[in-house]
Amino acid sequence: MGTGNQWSDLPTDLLAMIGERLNTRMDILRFRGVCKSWRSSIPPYPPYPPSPLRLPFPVPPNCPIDEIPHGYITVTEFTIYRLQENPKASIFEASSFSSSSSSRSKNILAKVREEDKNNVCILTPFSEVPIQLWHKKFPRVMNLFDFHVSEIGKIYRTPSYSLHNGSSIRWFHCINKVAVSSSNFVRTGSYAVMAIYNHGRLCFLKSGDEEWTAIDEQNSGYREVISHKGKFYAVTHTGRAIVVDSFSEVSEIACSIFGGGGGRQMHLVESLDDLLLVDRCPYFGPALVKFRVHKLDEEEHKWVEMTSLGERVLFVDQDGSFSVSSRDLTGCEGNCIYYVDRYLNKYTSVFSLEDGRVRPASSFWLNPFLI
Amino acid sequence: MSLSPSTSKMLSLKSSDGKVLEVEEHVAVLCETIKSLVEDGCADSPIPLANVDGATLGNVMEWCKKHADQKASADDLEDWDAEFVERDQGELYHLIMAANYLNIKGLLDLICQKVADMIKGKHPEKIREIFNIENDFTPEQQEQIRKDNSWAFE
Repeated sequence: MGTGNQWSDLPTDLLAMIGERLNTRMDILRFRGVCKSWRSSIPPYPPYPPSPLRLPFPVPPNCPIDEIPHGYITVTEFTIYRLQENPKASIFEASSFSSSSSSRSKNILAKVREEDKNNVCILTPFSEVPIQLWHKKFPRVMNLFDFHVSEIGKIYRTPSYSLHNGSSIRWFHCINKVAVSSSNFVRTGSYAVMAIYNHGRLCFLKSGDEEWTAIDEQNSGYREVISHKGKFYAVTHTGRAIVVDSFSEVSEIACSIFGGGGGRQMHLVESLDDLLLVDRCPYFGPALVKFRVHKLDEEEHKWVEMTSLGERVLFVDQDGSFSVSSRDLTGCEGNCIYYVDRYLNKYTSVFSLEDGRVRPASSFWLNPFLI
Repeated sequence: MSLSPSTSKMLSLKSSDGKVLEVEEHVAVLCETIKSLVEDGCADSPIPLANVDGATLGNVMEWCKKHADQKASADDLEDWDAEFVERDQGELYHLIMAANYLNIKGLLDLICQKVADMIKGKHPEKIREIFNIENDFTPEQQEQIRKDNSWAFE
């Protein structure tokens, strides 16, 4: 047996078996950057799901063809990364903000769209405008080997419409929210999408399908949908939740916990292995905003209210939500929820579960380029 | 042929460094390679295993013994496996090669997953350090990799 470089002499099929257990683009890039034999053992990360994802329109199954125009809906995938700069690199150093915080470990949260390698968009977590458009000093190229890059999650922005023949679209044809499951796509190349349309109805589509399939047709009132552990979870405005497996089998997983009535904004968030339901009251207005968090107990089939998130921090938004450990972000306190009042001021705020109060959020890692 | 524990006979396995290990047949046949020999009636003892050293063979048979135990629950096996793969890269290398040679799918999957978990989230430089790998890319390849690993903003 050779000495020294045994792992680079591993048979290609074994290297491939290891490589195919890596699921993120970043891990595959780095695996292929180790040495020659590792590089040739697995193919590059496929540009997949094809982004933007094009989904058939109109959504309601069996929609009369002559009534509304047909076309497709595009869904854009964003990946949330935590970027920690190597000491050598100096991108954040060059920003106007960082001179005052140069002694700190420079990590940021970034929302990144990677449709095309040569045209990447990088945004702050709640922003809709790429940083490069408003920060003049931002570099044209960022070398990812200058960073410790961790993938936090994916969110999907819904949707923009493209129609074969321009015509008016009625609200009941529109998609309100999508969840995309592509956890196994490196190996199988397949994906599945679950969507809420017509303000509360559910439908399902998998790669290759030309039409949507209605899910749980007798019920409506769905507000949120998420892909979690290879299944889809959807929740109604009363908190009733269902789980849909890969065969589109539906089962109820939690009963209602809220009274009817609107005025409540809901988010499903994956936090470590748990599925959380975050609800905000009231929906509108700056005063007395209050968040509550429930955790799904799958065995007991119910939502259990959480009094504390511990060291976790949640980021909730209409396109999708994610969770981070406060330990991974310099100066970040745990047990908090970050959000934006899109209807009010578009400023990022932070709600503390500790004292129930809202404060403006202004952290380096949230926006290193504030002027 | 009955392979149940009560009637299982002993097989002798001989490692590359000449060590002989006595193993119950129902344990050893978790190795597909050995199973075919037994089924073909070619399992004259001791069975020579030219590609596996004695220490690794001992580890592999320890794994097979645990997994041949009908009483072990799935949870129990999972915990046991997690502990089993807590080893340095050298031992893991010998195990993955042995699992491949002896054709033990369960063990091969386990080690591959462990190695993948050790790689996840790490910079290539760090991966090379952990697995003692030399960077053998040419400057041109290195440049291509830098490009692959960049974000370009229009």
